[in-house]
Amino acid sequence: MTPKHNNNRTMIGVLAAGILAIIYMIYVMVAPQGGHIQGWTPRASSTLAEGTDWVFNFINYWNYLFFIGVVAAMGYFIYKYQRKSDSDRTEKVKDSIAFEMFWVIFPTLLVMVVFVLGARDYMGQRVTPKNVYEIQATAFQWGWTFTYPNGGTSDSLVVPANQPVRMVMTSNDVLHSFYIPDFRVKQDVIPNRFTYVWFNAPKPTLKYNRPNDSTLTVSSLDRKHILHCTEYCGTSHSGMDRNVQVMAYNDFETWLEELTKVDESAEGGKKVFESKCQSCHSADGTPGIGPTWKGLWGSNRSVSPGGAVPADENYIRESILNPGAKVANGFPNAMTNFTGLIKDGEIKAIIEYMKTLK
Amino acid sequence: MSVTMIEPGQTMPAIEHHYLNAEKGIKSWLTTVDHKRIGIMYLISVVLFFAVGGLLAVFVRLELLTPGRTIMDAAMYNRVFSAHGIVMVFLFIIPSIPASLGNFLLPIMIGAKDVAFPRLNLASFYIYWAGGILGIIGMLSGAVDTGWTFYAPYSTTTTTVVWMTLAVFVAGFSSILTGLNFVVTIHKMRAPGMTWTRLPLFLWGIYATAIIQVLATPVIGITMLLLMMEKLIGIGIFDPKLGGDPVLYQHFFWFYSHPAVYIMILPAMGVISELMATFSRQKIFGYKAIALSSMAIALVSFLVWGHHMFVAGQSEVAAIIFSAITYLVGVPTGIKVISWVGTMYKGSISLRAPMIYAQMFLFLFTIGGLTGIMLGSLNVDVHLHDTYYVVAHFHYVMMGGTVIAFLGGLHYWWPKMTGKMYNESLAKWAAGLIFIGFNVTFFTQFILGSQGMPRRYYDYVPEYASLHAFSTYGSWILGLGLLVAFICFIHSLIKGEQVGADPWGGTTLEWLTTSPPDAHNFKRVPLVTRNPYDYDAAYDDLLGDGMGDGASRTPVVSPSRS
Ligand code: HEC
Ligand code: HEM
Ligand SMILES: [Cu+2]
Ligand SMILES: [Cu+2]
Repeated sequence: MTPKHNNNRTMIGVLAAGILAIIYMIYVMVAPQGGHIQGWTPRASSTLAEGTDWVFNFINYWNYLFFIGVVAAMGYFIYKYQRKSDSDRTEKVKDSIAFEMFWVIFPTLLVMVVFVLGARDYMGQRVTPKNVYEIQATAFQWGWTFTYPNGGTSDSLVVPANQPVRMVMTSNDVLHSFYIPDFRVKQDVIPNRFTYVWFNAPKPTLKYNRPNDSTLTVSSLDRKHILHCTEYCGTSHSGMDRNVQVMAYNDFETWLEELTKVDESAEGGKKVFESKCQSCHSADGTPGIGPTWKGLWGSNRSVSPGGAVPADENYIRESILNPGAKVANGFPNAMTNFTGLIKDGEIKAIIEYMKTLK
Repeated sequence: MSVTMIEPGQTMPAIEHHYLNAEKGIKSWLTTVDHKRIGIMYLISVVLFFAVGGLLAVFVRLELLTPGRTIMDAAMYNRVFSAHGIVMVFLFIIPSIPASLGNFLLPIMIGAKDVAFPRLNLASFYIYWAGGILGIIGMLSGAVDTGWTFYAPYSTTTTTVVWMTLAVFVAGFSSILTGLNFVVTIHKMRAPGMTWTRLPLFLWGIYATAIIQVLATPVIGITMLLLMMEKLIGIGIFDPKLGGDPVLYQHFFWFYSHPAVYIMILPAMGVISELMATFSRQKIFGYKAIALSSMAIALVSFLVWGHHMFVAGQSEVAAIIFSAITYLVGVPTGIKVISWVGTMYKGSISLRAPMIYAQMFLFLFTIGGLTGIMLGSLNVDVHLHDTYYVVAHFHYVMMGGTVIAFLGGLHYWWPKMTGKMYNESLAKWAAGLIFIGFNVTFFTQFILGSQGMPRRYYDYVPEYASLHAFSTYGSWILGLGLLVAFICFIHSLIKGEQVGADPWGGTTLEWLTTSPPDAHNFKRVPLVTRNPYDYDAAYDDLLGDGMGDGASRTPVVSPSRS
């Protein structure tokens, strides 16, 4: 027996690595994440989530079984048939047709079952139920505008609880994707085209009362959900995360009424800035993709074409609704065209806000 | 049967004349048409690009260590992850095994003197480098931040992607010409007696790969050309503003890039077949199943590209068909795994470093394949698409599969290529570190992904922070492991012991010639009289006479008829 073929030390190493791996996997699966225990998938907060999770778990259990089988066979063979010496001979193994046929037919049947389960549930996701509530979504670099049936717009998503909601989506510039993990829905958002997705979230996450009313009861509410953009869209792709709130129908109606009112004060302007402009502009002089707004109001801007123009009401308005008309020197012509994405009152509010940024 | 045993402590005599010293000087390398030298030059090149891509990956993981800014800003992060993907896919993994190990071994394994078109082979190498240099210019000259997929219209409207797409376009030609060369070589240059069913499985893998390379690569070439034309003269194919369709781009892209994932994995599967046979000293369980499933995968892989676009806006009918066919490709892959495990049954298993890598491959690739089954399910993919689950899946198959098989193959054939043995315990330490590091880095990402963490994200919500940090720690262990593996090879070059013709007891033809081989591979043309893994017939040769000219090795080889 030459030491070269002594598998034992190596096997102890492999075993130790295996045990470490198992400890590690248990750790990451149950590690506290923001205060609660995590399994594989996140909270199931829409009616679609159950079907997805069921197929996810079904496949996962078969995967565990298959994987453990493979690894156990590997381990057993390595142990049982280890080479004793250089001159070991092996006996010829006869091919077993029955065994081979089993290993062709069994997995084929199994994956066909998996396919049917996944496809059936998928069709259910694609067929929109009757009496849906429609919300228009417009994605842009890098944010979202949600337009409600009454004309109100919002930059984060609020939906009525226990009601099928259908998103009618399009993009102003490049590809984006609408993804709410808790709802298990995802759909790419494409320029020049409408795509759709629907969901029904039963549990409210927020009570909505008149602004100064402080009778919010937070218990019995689910935590808020998050909307991600999942199609890469440039620098602030990861900055397109938005809150998704679910409200009981009465609360939702109140919220919707409030929505059509625009706060035209500097305070309101600050909110617009934070939701629509902050990804490229700063209010405190920090450099960004676009010029900072600190000291912008009333200053003389060097732009092309045109040379110098004063930053007055008209200039600001034009910069927002037709940003390519005068491009600030030293910056790329990269600003989103906000025509249709911003209300007149919001522009007024922004101007009020700019006046405060000395 | 006369067998010269080398006693312990006695060193192997060095080979006097071989391909490495047949000619001298850097010029003799740069102008060589010897497939072995070209293979070595490819090896050095892909290792170089792997190092570049790996370094970029370290920066990507470092940035993700904490939410928000860690070491760079968002714009820089996007460039770094894009460059990482582009270098790894187009300049490292696609050429990796076929162009280095394939070039070196293919002619030897079929008993030929060289590939069919040796000059074309050298040309492929230079075209590859032309692509590489364009890619480097692209990276240094600015802002390719599109990801390796170059999706329109982002790629055509905001940044200069022309250098990078040109790089991919040019590198594609190298891939096509290498594929063509290999197909013709395997068809036309086999030694007497080397029938198709006696072809080693590594070559079946290379053959299936070469066919995909020839058929699929033109599509990515045309796609990149269209993208450049869109960007430069605005022809309006992909950009909706010009009347184009961005989903069409995705169809074009994946029509190449799905088959391309099999360009990446089939050669690796071939390597694993060789390792399993040699280190189990057992004929491959289901040789025909493996050979035929490679061909089946090669053909069916052209019909499943739509599984990358389940939520991209294609029709439901298309999605359902693509999902069904995707599952059909999964089956031959599963059969291969069973066959490899079955090969160990009643074998004589030696856990040398190459076999350790082969076992690691089985472990990791099985996870990669099973999670592919998860992703092929329509409703589940709606949730998992473009999350870290996909990132983990393809790292398990591409790194856990291809890179691990490459490392295993490199350890296995290193003595053949250099005539020197590597240090066994150094190699095993490296393998262990890589295994642990890899799993810590990427298994974590399965959990992140199923939790809903999107990919290509510079910043993330705090819930994901601890798992991201974990993944980054893993990348350090992984990096260290790779470094140790690299040191192990360099150490072998300097200090390695001279080996004989067949240090492992391998039964394929490359083990008949000297280590390193003669400039013309064999002194006599081999006559093949048995199957590649016929340990019964080869038993008496197995003890390794160490002289390696094959003279004493009847009936495997008899003096040539020429
Ligand atoms: C995608 C990034 C981006 C977003 C989002 C964005 N901007 Fe801009 N903005 C720019 C860039 C780049 C410039 C400089 C080029 C130009 O003048 O068009 C600019 C210029 C401006 C200017 C002219 C500034 C000057 O120095 O002359 C104003 C005013 C402005 N933006 C307002 C807004 C407002 C209001 C919003 C939010 C509703 C907004 N921007 C959102 C990128 C952006
Ligand atoms: C068992 C066989 C396999 C199946 C069923 C499978 C299935 C899939 C599916 C459905 C996706 C799309 C996921 C998504 O984006 O939502 C995917 C992605 C991917 N797979 Fe596989 N896969 C398999 C094996 C492989 C192999 C062998 C490789 C390469 C070596 C590979 C490489 C990739 C890559 C690179 C991606 C993602 C590309 C990207 O989006 O950037 N897969 N796989
Ligand atoms: Cu995005
Ligand atoms: Cu694919």
